[in-house]
Amino acid sequence: MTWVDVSGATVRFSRAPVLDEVNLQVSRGEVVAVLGPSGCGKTTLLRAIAGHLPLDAGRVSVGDRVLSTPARHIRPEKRGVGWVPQEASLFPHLTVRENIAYGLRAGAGSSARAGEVAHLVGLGELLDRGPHQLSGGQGQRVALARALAPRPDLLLLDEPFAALDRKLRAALRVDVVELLRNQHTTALLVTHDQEEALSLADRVAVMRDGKVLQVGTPREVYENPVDRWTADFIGETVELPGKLSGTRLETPIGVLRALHAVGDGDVRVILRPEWLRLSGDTGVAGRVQSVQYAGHDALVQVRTENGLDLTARTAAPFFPSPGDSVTVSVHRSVLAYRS
Amino acid sequence: MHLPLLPAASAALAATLLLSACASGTGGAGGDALSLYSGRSENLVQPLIERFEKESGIQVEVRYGNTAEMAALLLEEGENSPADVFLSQDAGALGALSDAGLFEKLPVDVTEAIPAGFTSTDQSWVGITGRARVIAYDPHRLGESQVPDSVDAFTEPEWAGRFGIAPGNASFQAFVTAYRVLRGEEAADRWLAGIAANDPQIFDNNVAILSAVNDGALEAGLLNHYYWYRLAEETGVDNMRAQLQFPQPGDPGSIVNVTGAGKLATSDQDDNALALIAYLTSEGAQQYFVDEVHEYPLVETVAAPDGLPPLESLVNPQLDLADLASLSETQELLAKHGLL
Amino acid sequence: MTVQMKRSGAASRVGRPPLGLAATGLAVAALAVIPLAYLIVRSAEAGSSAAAALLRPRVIELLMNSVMLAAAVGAACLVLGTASGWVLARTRLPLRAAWLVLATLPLAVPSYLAAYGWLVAVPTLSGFWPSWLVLTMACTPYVTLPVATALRSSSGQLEAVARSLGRAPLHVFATVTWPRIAPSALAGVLIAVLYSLSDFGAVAMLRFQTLTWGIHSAYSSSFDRTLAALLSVVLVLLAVVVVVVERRLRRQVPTAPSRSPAPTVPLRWSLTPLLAALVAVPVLGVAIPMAGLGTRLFQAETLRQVDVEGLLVATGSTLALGAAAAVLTVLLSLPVATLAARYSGRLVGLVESLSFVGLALPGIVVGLSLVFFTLAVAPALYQGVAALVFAYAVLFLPRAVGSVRAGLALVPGRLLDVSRSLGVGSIRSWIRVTVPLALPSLGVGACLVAISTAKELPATLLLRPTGISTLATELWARTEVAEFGAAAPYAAMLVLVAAVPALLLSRGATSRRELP
Repeated sequence: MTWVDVSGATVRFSRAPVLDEVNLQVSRGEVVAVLGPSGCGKTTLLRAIAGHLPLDAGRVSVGDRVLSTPARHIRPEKRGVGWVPQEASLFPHLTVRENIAYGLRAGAGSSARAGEVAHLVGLGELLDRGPHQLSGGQGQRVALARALAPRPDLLLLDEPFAALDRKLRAALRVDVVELLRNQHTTALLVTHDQEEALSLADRVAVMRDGKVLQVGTPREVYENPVDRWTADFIGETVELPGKLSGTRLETPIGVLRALHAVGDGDVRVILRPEWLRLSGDTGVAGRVQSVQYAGHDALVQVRTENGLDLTARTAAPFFPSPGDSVTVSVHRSVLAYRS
Repeated sequence: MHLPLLPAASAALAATLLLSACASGTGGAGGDALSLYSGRSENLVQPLIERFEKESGIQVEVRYGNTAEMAALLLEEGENSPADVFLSQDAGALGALSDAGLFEKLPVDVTEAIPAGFTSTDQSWVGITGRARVIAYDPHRLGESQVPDSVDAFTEPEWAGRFGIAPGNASFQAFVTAYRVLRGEEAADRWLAGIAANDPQIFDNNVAILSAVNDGALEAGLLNHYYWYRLAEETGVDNMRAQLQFPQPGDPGSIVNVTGAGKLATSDQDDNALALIAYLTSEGAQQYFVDEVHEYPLVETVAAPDGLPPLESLVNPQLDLADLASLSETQELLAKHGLL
Repeated sequence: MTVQMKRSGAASRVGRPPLGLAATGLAVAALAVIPLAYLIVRSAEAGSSAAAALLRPRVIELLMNSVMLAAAVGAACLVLGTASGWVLARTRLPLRAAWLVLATLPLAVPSYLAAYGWLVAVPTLSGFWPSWLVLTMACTPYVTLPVATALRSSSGQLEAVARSLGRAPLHVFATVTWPRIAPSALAGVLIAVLYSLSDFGAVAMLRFQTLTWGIHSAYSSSFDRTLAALLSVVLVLLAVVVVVVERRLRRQVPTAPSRSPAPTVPLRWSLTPLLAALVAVPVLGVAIPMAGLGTRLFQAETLRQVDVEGLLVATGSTLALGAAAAVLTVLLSLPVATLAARYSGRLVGLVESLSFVGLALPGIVVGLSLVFFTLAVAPALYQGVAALVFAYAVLFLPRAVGSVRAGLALVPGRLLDVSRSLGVGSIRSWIRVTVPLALPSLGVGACLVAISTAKELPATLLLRPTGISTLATELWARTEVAEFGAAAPYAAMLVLVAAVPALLLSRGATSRRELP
């Protein structure tokens, strides 16, 4: 059942639309990542849903409440939509406890609830500290706790991990999503980090130039992107020329099967590096040019006999070395787009 | 709601209320006290007012300021003025208010106490005290023989840059008007041209001129006699470096400026207002001005302070000190010579 | 070389301000326009003779004198204030807190007192340069304090980068440091210039004939309110030019907040000229004139007559009026400052500029305009405490707006967004988040207003409730009749009272709150 419904949402600054008829539906308890390059309008989408920007066209509703239309704009404080911004945004003049309790109705329960949420995010010990005494990760945990404390109908997270170092980011985002799931919180997470979106979200919405290009499970958008740009943006790609008839695909590395019949004729073939196998019995022979070691796997540059440069991903621990002879084959259906 | 502005605001509010209470406490209940706007200083006027209150039983609320500002205030207040009486340091301000129709004519028994030439010609106000025009000089730099006894001397080239005037001041302008009346327009024009060409030091007021002479910064200056006595009282007569020269009788510089009072047309306390004005021209009050302020009494029965030339030698019956039309001609003349 | 800095996007808002805020801002600006409206009414009485009255060579001469004086004071304040602010913020100065207090102290000395003190010390002083000196010393703290604050709250990183790119220190100052402190410095210069245009006390004592001299002379010798109004309109036009120029200059400069503390350099001989600036201002602005006043005190016969009770009462009412005026003025400045800090556009520019114009008018003009206004609008309040406090608010609104705006601009807009997303309404968000964070700046604004109120004379004389005396009016009542000895305790107390907010001001310049 749809809980958050954004339909036809349009926002213009001066003339050009920054949000261009965006449609996005989120079910209750779902965590959806909005993924796009910087400037694609994803933060604007979040601000529009939070009510910090009015809509020029379209509609936003949560549950059975209409929050935004061009004619009707519910104020941010009346929306029940929590927000965790990108940069450190704790109120510097309030303690951790006061920050978390900020959105709660003053009373006996508020302090208890603040303590409860602080424990939830693992900061039960730091309640009486000031924001300047916290590390970056702790600060974002407090920001999250503060947003969760009033039990929002929808939580918006605007690149909440962007300012943190890599290791902290990885740890924190796993914690956060687990927390959101446990609390059955409906959340929209804006990010420009593909790995983050794919690993955390139930579904991913890909945005570009103010438009939503595709919404789907992480697997759908990664394995079956709607166009070449999306494919390229979501992950590494190998591109080949090809000739399609039905789903039969002739390429320089052999005859492959296309996922979709997009019309016979010349196409661009796109596949992911891990779809290439280097140790098959059949396929195109080639030689390893270089190996980009990444611990758990490696990207291997191969030059085929017929002069194509390909990138393949091989899993640990059996990595080839530069100069090794390999046989390149593809073991699944690939993507074909009209050129 | 923990709002630090709130206590601050309430403290300020409390302070304001307290002040309001003080204001109405000291002044009495606004409506029934007589309201005097004084263009003369509190230190000089207040003791006299207190005597009046004691003798008459009439409460007086006094608003002190300088004469020009009080006149501007009265003009601005117009029909809404809470003032009953205006006490002015110079006749020009009284004339301005009279021209604006703000004064009500005084009864003859009040005005007749003061001889003509020292009071209004139309009974709109009454003169109270007189101040002689004098030349203050620095005896460290000028021998007694070098001090002019006529204002005409200052147009001589030898005085270039060595003397001070306050051309924006009412008392100086009254003196120039007297010059015009006494010697004629052409002579006054010539005199001012000579003064302007002689590069006088321009001051804002009489006190500043006197201070400059007394501090040795200026050799001589034109001002009213009374300021010297004020300063002498402050520093002790023996410590006064500046000395006074009275221009010879008949010189255009030998005139008297008057202070005076008028009753506002908006006053709703005619009797009390007249009582106050009459008191100011009474012998007791006149004697107070002689003793404490060293001004000329205008009532003939009170003797002038010691050491001053007799008032009669300074009188100029042709001169209406409050004649604003004449004043504005004087100002045009001053402006023409770049002095205003 | 130019260093591009990203404008702190979080603090500025796109689009138009909300209607309520714009309306409140306009309403407050309308208060600041009362003196203007009054001047237009009075000037209109001149009719066709206005041009003739204004084009007299005498008026042109006064105008030129005013312009020269204000420009020279502004330039000198800029140089001295920037130098002093830099030394205070960026060097390892021993007893820095004490130096800050000294640098602030000239604010506590009314210009007429400073001029008088100088005249006692050097009786022959007169004309342009002495007036320039006294006003420059009186106004330099308006530049020193904001520059010191801006320098302390911006990191030295960019300077370090520029130095490592091979640039000399002066070049680095001009291209890197200056652009970041320019808005604060220029805001201070704006106050200094408008103050110089409006000052009458110092120029009257030191006999330099400016437009304010002409205005006072129009009142005092010809009782000509129309001429005074016409001359005041000229002052207003000058002020408009100054405000517009300052806005132009200020806009060109982006700001970049920073978190890391600024590095300081040890004192060394090459810094002597800058140190001299820091020392000169309190010496020339406070020590010499106060010493002059002190000698008069010991010569005076009237010294024996110190009326302790009267002194205490006047001190009390000065403090109370100062506090009330400070609170009211800061409250009134909030909508204007919010508009100016968070939004841009013509309306906002207009509101902000209007609020500054009154600063160029001499107190007597503002006082008379409020007499006119109070009698027309609320005659029952005439000569009441409320009307007097209101007059102070109109007079000193610009001073509060300047610092309050700077404080509000430092509060990131996203904190307000977060607050509203937590279910707290816009006005309450503003009260719970913006106001506490901007509180130091609000305090600075309040202190400036309190100091100015304590020193104010002409409007106080016109509007005070009968029977209420402040230290300034008592001081005036005694100097007017040459009772310098009797005046001295009031002068000393006035400087002391004004020094209290000055002390708070200097503390406000040292402390800085960490903002995200």
